Amino acid sequence: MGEKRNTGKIPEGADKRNPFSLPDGYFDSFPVKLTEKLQSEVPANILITKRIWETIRPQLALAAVITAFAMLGYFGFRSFIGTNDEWPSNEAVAEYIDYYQYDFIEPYFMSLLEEEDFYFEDATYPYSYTWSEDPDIYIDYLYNEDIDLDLILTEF
Amino acid sequence: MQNYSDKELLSLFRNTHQRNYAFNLIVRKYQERLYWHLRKMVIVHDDTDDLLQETFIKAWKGLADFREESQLYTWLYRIATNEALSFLKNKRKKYLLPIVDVEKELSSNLEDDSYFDGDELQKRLQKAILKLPEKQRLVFNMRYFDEIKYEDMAKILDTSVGALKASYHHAAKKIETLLKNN
Repeated sequence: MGEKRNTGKIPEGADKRNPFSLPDGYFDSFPVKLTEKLQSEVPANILITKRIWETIRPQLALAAVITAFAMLGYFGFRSFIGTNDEWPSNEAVAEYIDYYQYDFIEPYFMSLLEEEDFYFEDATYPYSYTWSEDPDIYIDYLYNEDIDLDLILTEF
Repeated sequence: MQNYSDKELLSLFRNTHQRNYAFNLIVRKYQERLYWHLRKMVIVHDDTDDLLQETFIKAWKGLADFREESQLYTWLYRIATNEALSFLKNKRKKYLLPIVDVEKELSSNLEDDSYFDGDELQKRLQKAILKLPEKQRLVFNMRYFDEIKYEDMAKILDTSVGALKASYHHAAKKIETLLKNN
């Protein structure tokens, strides 16, 4: 671009010839020497990892794009059909627990699973949980446990 | 050897199967220019050879991530320049020498260098250049010998064109004075 040369007066009488020299054939042998050094210095596993990464990178990118589109489609469809499966409120959960809660008795639970009759090992519970036709058994149980029958009837 | 543009070489390099071939072509294209750039900074051929290898090893490691925001040759020059400056800095640290002694050592190397073919005037000029601070020396060599444009030098040395012109002017004045007094 015709940039103005700004070399000043120096050096008077000197030209710009390169005063240095170098061994014969240096630039012919340098690339070979460099290749050898690269092979010894740059660990092969780094190159292999780099190559593997370069090979799988497009596939990973494609998979990410497909996943993104699938998620967009899924959530878009859900919002389109107006599905509402929000989490229940804390009050609703508390009410549910209150209504369905029961004391967990492991041996009883196991017996239910195994569909066997259950007997309390404790002497204070001498009755089986198997249903009986005899109402006296239940009356005896309520009596022994000091349970108010009126209370049961009003509550349930 | 077919003459590829930098863009073609980079495109070739990005093809995994032709990477080694492309890099070999890049080395062959730029090795001479970078060699002389380094040689003027560190004077001794063996040191230059080591630095040139380091320059291309760094280029090899970084070329895959090269985004072509700058030209390939300014990028390579920048790596080589950093290598030369680091080399001189380490030399000072290693021998705990003040800067003037490194200059003396380089001048002495110039005297003993079997690969220096210049006449007496050229030797005086080189010795005067060695008396400049490193950054000024870089600017002077790149402008005076390599005739690199200030705009390209600004990209390589990461500085402004104005600062480079001022630096070159100072360097030229100093050399003129040194040559007159010597």
